[in-house]
Amino acid sequence: MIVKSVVLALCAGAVYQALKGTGSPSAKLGMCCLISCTVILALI
Amino acid sequence: MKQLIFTVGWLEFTRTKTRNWLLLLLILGSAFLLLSYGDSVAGFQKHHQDDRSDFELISPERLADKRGISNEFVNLASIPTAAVTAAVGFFGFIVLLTIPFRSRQEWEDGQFQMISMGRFNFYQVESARFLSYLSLAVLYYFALLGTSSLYAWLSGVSSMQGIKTMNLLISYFFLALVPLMLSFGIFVSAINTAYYRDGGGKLLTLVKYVSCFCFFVLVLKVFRGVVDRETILFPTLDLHIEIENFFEHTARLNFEFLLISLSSAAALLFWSARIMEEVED
Repeated sequence: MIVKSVVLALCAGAVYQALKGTGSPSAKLGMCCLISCTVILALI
Repeated sequence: MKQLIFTVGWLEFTRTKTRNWLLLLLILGSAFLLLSYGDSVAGFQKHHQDDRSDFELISPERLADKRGISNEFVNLASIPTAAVTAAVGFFGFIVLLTIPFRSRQEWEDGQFQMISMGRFNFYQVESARFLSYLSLAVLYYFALLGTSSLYAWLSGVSSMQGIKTMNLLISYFFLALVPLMLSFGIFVSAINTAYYRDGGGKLLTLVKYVSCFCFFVLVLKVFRGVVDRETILFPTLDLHIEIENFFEHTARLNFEFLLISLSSAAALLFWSARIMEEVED
């Protein structure tokens, strides 16, 4: 449970950085989809 | 478009020179390993000890009869041939995975930006990149399959049906995984380019590479999910793989996964071209 929470918190931080890191909307969406792979694997 | 494919192919070939040498060494190494498997690999045998004439080519059927190999079922009787082919195939796959990734320096060199300033758009440039990587992968796996099939045939330790099974199995996994992974590499490379220009944190880089690994795990989970499903749209091809006294398995080649994988590869390629267009324009 602790590991899952840490992973999810790291993912949330990465999503925040991803959203403000570039001006390209497709790159933002791509990065969020990429990060969602980690989130899905952490949740299942 | 032909001019673009050749230009991008040449640029990529010079950029990935070290990895190309590594792939060549893997092929040569596998050929050497298969050769050094000893007298059972050499299909050329002398008639008898005192014979000074040239070597005679023994037909695989005769060798198979001599060694009592059954031709009744699909058989992969040669453990070293199968093991060497699988190991070299896997290492080659890992090297091929890294090929689409471009470093910051390579992006700053601006090879593709220069091309895109001409009459070609990024959809064409990314397709040309994909084709150049795919042709390298095809060359690699063609050489690997050719080498292993040749030695399996010459040695006679594997039946002709077994060699066909090995070729079918590797070709299926090649079609199902390599285009998807190459497109995924191009996609991550495009995302990297977007963040090279505007900047990204260390946390983002860490999570990005962990996510790449998670993507591969999810692909394998999808593969298992699709293969284990009860209802299927397309007929499956069942291959019986057997390595005597060691391993026995029936592989189910599922065409739905192939379709999903190739469609995803096309979608990722389109997406990466769109990212590059937004970043560079």
